[in-house]
Amino acid sequence: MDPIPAVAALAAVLGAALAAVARTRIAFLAGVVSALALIPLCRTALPEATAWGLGAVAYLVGTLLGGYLLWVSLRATGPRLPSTRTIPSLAWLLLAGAAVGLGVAGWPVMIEWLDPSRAPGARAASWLEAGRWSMGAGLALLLIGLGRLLASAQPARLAAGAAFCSGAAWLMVTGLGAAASDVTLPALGLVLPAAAATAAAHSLRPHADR
Amino acid sequence: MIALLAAGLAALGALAVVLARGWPRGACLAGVVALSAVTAAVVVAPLEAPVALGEAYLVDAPLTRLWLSGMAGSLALVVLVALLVGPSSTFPMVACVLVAATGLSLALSDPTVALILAAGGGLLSLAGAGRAWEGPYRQAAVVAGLAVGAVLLASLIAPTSPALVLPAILVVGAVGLRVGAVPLQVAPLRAARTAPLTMVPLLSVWAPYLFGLLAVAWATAGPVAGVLDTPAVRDALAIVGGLTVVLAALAMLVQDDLGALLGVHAIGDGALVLLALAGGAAALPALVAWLIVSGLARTALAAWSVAVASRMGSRRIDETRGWIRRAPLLLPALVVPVVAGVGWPGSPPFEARRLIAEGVMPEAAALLVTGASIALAMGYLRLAWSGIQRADDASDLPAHRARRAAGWSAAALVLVMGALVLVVVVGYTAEGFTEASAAAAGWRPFQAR
Repeated sequence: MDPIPAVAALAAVLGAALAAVARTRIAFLAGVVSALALIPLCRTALPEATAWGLGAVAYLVGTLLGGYLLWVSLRATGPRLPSTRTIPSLAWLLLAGAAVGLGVAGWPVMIEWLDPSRAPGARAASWLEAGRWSMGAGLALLLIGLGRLLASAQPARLAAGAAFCSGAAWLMVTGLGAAASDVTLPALGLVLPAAAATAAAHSLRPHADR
Repeated sequence: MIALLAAGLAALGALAVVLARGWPRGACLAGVVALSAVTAAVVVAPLEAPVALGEAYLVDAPLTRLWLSGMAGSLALVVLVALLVGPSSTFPMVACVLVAATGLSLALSDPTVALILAAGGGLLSLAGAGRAWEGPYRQAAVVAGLAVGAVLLASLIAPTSPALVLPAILVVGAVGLRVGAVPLQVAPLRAARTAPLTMVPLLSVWAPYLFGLLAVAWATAGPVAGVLDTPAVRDALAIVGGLTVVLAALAMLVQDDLGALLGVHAIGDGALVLLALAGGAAALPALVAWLIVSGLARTALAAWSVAVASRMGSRRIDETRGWIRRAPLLLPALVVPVVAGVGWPGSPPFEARRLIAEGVMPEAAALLVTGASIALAMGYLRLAWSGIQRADDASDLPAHRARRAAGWSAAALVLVMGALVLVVVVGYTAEGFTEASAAAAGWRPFQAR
């Protein structure tokens, strides 16, 4: 069984956790980019097709562009980010860890609910099965995105939360077996730049409404 | 290839605006040129065969031409009005990006990608929101995720499985969040109240309408159509949509800010998307006709608000007393788009709303909702009342000749925009002209090829 999807999913979860607790600009950016950059690898049997490769490259370019725009939006705050409270952050991280476990273990149950004919194969699947880890990482990203980032008042964290939500949805549904087309990846890669550009626009200008 | 052409020209325009952002007049000029070029290109360019894009296709359709020409043309005029009375570089840039995203999303055959692009464009349009941007941003942030989840999840589930309820809930939630249906209206309204007036058509009108249209097109023809067609779901959607229209009509009467007035009206108009979701594929042509008229009318009224706020020095309705005396040309510029947007019995916007409402609710309730949708325009009576009152001395500022000429030119442009809405409404009935319903009837956006 190919361990790459599981490793990529774990990297995504660790990156998301880092983004949630980061207190410096560089740690936050590293967390966001590592949480999102490896998402295309979280699937079984990477296709050989050029179209998929181009899609994945376009997605990576979008993620890096989004990272740059996040960096720009964080200029106003300086190298240290407004701190978040430790205990709620740790509680969310524990919850995200539990979500990974739940996703990995509960994956066959979800498959059975959606399509009973796939249940026997899902129950017999290995613990390194890509779908399990994709589901777990998706749940963790969703929890961190909704709970820690979109709840924040800071523009850059909001932008990361927006990207985590769409990334999480993609991870969960592809983990359950949905065959997303090649062009889905480049489109997904546009969410972080769009979100980060909006955050940057609000970080960089004074709130003088006309 | 209409969509690619429009997206390319709009993207070039956005780049030009970014390069000229330090010079707001230059940025507005670049925006006007780009948006006018998009309008001309989509009107003139022929419809061509689908173009492959990976596993998806870009498909030309008369609807793409109609929507893009209306949107880009009206936004070009708003940028021109802004150039005359208060240039800024954010608005033309966001307008160009949104036009590019709209062109591609209307033409893409892959619903996931189309909905992500529409949701991403909506998120980006909030770059022009005012200080209350976080609330609508949080709402818009989850829309792309909900859309991805809905479309891809639905492809996994057997057509008769009860699990199809889950993607149906996701897509309805995404539409509700995007159009600001009750009880999710608070944050979008706050954004409309604090955003610059020029941004309101992007934030509250074109971005949510586009997402709503694509979501309805997918949901009513895709795997979840059966779920949306069940009586319980239809009733729930009809209640939420109808309630939103009625409450918006009441809220229109108490707004004291021009941006909030536009925002409430856009929410009231956009609520018909929820009714169309309940109405199924039969409601799609009427929805298209309605959204285009509403989008154009709201955009014309936003341009009107910009011109009035600039002339009277305030966007608060109470502080625009005597605007008719100060700028008489703005009176027909207000009346024409309001009348064209509301419609009259037998006119396309009126009939479109009636058809959408009657498709999902009993006749009496449909009458109430259609009436409330028309009553949304009552909010503008307060503006008219404010206009005929005696003007404050503060608004009688001695103006430089150039400034006065700019004000008159802006008012004339707003009048042209209002007239355009009327032309489009009348043109719906003329064969070979706009024919929104015919364009929508032949629109099969997410059909397998």
